[in-house]
Amino acid sequence: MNPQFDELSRKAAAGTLTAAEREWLDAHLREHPDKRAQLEWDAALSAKLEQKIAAMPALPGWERTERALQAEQAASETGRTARAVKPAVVRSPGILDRVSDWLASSLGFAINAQAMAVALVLVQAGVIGALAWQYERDYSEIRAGTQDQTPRGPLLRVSFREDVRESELRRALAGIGGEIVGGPGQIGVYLVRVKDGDLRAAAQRLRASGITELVEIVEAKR
Amino acid sequence: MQKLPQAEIEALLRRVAARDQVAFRTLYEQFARRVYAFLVHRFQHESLAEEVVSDTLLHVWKSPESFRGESAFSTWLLGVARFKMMERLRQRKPESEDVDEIDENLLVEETGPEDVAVMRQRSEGVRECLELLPAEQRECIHLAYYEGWTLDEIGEHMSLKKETVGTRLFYARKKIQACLAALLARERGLQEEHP
Repeated sequence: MNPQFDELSRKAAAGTLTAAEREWLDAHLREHPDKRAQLEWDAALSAKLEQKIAAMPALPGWERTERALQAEQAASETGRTARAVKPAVVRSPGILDRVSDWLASSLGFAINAQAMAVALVLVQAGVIGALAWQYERDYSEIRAGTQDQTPRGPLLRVSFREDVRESELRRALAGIGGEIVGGPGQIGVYLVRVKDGDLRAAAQRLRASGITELVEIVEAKR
Repeated sequence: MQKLPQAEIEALLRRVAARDQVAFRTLYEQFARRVYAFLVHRFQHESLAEEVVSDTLLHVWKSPESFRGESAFSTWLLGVARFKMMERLRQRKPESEDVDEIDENLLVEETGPEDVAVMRQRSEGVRECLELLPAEQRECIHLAYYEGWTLDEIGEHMSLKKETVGTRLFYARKKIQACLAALLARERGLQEEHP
């Protein structure tokens, strides 16, 4: 077995050889003419696959896809129509208008609704300020509690094979210096943060471990 | 197999991002059959494969920017299709994958001219023998002999070591050869019984 010959023989069969690879292959075949049978066998297998695939439907799933596209288009057109129609709808008077009308009718003079809104906001701000000063409440904890808890990138999205044992999983994570910071989601995808080192190298190592089905890099959010 | 240059694919993806359905249709025409062929060979589930082709290409329509150009577009697309198919199958029932159990009698030393002749002449037999292979060996055969991927590329796609892919391909070839030889022997036996 010569791994380089095997690989180039398959690539020749699939028609993806580069010029340099073709040169190497020709030279190898001159030295080892007995290898020609393998090359021909590979080419024949590839041709059989080509034949089989050529007989498959040209646009599999297109009807379903087209329906999805049409549904999307119809939805976006409906949305556009609704947005276009909205300004034409007669706006019913808001609470400020009604209060303004009541003042106008009972006090005998009209107050502009926008002026009333500004006045109300000022009064509210005053009340809130007074309460804050009175109780000297520390709002920092509340603010901290409402921060976005979603783990930020760069991370790895990883889905493990179903038959993986926990010990294998832990060993693989330890090998890349990774820790699970999110998941599993509905389809079993975890978010993994790599403490130090190259994220791409870590992804490569996880893929090569043979225990994952998916390893993707999630770039940092801006 | 006609292949679109990467620059052309990237131009089409930019048009898809601008909601150009003509560009999307062009991408569909270029890749749907390739994705379908891969799924049918790997999973042997034609109706589901058709749905997953649709899902996969619709994923491109909805978020063309998710292809970041870190690999060839077809490599990425087959990866998405594989993931989506596995998701679908996981919702149905666990797939029982067989490992590389090898009948030692299959290990023919070298490929000879007779093997080549059988391979060329027996289209139906080749199809039958491919279907008898374990799913992951079929996948390796498809990616190597139809897509022309290297062992590294197949390994990355399947989350396997390069050496494991090499072993799977080696055994898959030997199994096909042995299977075809058995078919031929059976035919000859029948001819002798009914000359």
